[in-house]
Amino acid sequence: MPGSVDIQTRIPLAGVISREALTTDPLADLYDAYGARLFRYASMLLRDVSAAEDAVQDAFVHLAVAIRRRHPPEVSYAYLAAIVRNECFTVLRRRTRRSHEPLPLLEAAAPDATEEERVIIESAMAALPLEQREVMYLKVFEGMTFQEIADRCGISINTAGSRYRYAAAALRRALTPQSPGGRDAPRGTRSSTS
Amino acid sequence: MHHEELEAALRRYRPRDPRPELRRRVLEAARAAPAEMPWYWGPLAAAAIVVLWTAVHASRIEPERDPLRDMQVARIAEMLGGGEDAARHAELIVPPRLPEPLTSFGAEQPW
Repeated sequence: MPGSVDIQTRIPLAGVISREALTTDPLADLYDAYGARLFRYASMLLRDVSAAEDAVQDAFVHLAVAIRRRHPPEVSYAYLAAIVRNECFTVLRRRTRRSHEPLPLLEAAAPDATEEERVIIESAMAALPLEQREVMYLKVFEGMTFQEIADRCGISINTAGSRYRYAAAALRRALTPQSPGGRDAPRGTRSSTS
Repeated sequence: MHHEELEAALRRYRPRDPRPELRRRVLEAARAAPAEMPWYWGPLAAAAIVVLWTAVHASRIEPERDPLRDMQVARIAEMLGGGEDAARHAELIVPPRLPEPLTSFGAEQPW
């Protein structure tokens, strides 16, 4: 079922060599399993839907080329995520400015979520440095441990933890600004409408 | 606000999914991707072209004849009794003429 593949699941491709087989089922299966997740990761890194789509597409093109080699790789989500991450950083290195008006990256996932709070969270996430935003995304939305994040980003577990703490502090400030009386007041319509 | 509360607040939202048409676009692009050749095919093809070009042009180059040497070869071949064997031996006997040394008029003077 699309989207239900575990992070550690590997789809063996080593025995699939024929061009016909390579260009139909395995890629489609991989996209169904990981495509949406890869897109979400790319969109959070790039803050740009079109660029994220390009990054995912380029990652699958690289994968298709790799599969056609004599020794195709064993493909896991981690493998694909690493390709997408490289593509994203390539885009970010080249990018001087964003070419499109950014579309909303987040959507409500709970009944009491509000548009105002979504905008606040999205703006706060966007304002984070890329490294902190990536760690925060992987921790919160992908549920990864700090060790897994460290492995993904090629950093130490301590660095992953400190990036998370800096990001959390920034988001906390954005969500709970100081009220005039000196006490923290949560932002968003949840507080204003109640 | 603790980490758990912050994460709970963030998880009330989620990153958007891709547009449905991305699947078709990605798979079409992946299927159209050219097969990547091994890295050594480029240099190998270039080397083969150079060798071929050199061979073709080398076969068209007429060796420069030296009339004086040809005369000496013919004379010695005649002395050896004539015939193909004599001519072949004469070719080995007569050394090729070395290029003439530069005269002081045409040569560059050292500083």
